[in-house]
Amino acid sequence: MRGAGSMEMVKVLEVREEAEGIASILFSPEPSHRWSSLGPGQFIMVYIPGVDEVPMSVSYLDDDPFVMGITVQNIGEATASLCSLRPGDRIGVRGPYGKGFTLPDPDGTDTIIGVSGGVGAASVILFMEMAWRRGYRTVSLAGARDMRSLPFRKRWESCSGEAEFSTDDGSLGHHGFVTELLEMRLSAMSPGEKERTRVVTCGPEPMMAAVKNLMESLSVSGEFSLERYMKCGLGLCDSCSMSGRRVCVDGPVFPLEELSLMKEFGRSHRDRSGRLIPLKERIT
Amino acid sequence: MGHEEPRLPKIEIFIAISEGPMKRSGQSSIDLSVNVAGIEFPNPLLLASGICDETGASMAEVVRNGAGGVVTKSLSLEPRNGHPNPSVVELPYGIINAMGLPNPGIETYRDEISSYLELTGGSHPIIASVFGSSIDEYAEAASLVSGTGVSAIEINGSCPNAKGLGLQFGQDPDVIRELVRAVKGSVNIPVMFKLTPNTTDITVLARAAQEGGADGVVAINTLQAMKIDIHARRPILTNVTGGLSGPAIMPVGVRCVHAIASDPEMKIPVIGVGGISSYEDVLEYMMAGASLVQVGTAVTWEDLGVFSKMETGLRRFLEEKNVSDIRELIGAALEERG
Repeated sequence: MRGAGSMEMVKVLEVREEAEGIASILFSPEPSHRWSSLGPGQFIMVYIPGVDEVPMSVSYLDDDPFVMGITVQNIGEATASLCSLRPGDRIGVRGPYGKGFTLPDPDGTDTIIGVSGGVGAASVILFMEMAWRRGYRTVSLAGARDMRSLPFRKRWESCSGEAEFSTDDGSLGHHGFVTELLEMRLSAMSPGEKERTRVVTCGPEPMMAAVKNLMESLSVSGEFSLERYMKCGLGLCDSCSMSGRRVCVDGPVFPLEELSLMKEFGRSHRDRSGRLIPLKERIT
Repeated sequence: MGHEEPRLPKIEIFIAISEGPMKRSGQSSIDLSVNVAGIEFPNPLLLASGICDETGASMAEVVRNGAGGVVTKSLSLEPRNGHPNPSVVELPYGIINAMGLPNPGIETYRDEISSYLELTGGSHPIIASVFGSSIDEYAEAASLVSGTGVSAIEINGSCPNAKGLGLQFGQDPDVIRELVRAVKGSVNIPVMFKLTPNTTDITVLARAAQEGGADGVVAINTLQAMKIDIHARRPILTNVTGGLSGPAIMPVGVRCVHAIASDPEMKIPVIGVGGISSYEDVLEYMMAGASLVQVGTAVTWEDLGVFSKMETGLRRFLEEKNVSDIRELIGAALEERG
């Protein structure tokens, strides 16, 4: 495994606008052994020369030809420079890192519900596409602020038995939170159906905390993709530490039962110095 | 960010850690415990500073995985954010890092130390690494952290990654002597000094630390290094340079420990660190004269299980060689002093 994560410089193939302020960057690394284990929910470190290096979930992964992609929301210096890349520009990628989403045993679980909020859709969509190809019954619930800021609408529809959307302003689908769509669905299920269902989710942490509460109260299993300030991606620096777990190597995807023990989830995170701060404060 | 100090409940305990007793290796007559500067360590494998040590829970997790003790990240009086990314470069034979000494400051980190002690029950010593921008700051930081339940101080006088901090303290024997003396005068627990290999003769620095009253020296810190992005024609790290760790520096560290331990002037114990990733590496360092070792970068490839793997390896090796006490091997590769 040594050197598995050495940085590989790649040329940008395409920058695709997915929604307002959200773009995907597609590139084509050497199809080497190192990438063979990469799956949905895992992440790579993306180096933008002279600007930053940031952890990004993989949102596109095609075999032939080998193309990989990440999806970013333009919210800061690093993401702005990613969004302004042009085909032919060079970025560096290293990885793959972390634990991704896992496909359940199809004999016990036949339904997968993907719940995403905003750009959190990036890791969930890739997993839902994989589940769809493998023959699971897929239900995608995707939420956004409004219709224009919802990414992957076509992809959701083509990889889901059912796809439902929610927007804060009602401009598309359900007028309200995506968690309300989940609650309606889970409440309508029989205990047997719930047992055969797995929820996978990624989005703002308050949203995921609401998903977690629903799953606990309705006894549904699932996996959560978390985000913390992350520096090395290698499990060394501990900057992404959360209740004794390192999000970069022990996660970023955690099963519900593990997350239930992580008391910092939904409540606090750490700033760049390592100070524990309430979740509502952004790291500046 | 808010201006008020947020009041949060004390660090939560990760339940997996508090459930049941620490994992102990199988009963055997092999004794891996070592005593350095009056501190008893259940085995000679310590977690190196700056690795998996953001929180008390993280460090306790390392101990649960077999470490004999831990060294905290380097702590200062004031919080520091560290350098922006890119702050690491992964190479086939090691890692270059320029984290820039991020830490929340000793007052805040105190809670992490308490949490570690609570989770481990005090069975596995915790050493506080400290740094400052002046000798007075080092002494004040050491004094402040010495009251938190740590067993010893490790002076980081040689971090290559923070301008105006560390390295220039660690390359000048006169400064080392004065720095160690000041820190010793401000605490009543043992003081170790971490040495840089970025020097002409490391034994000169080790002697200076001893003359200042150090209870032990730690060798080696990272080697100054650089990686260039040939497409962008610029160094990758934001800090331009970083410190190389991992297997690449292992033979350098062994040689440094050997040089210090075979110096007839040196009387204080040496703690070996640099590139250790297997029990064989541990033995090399110990035979070169190290009483204890620290492990850091190996966690990247081996994860935390590397500690229990090394502990098991040491037990097997000792059994095979019919050695009942690991202390017999300390300095075994040093020439007889005449």
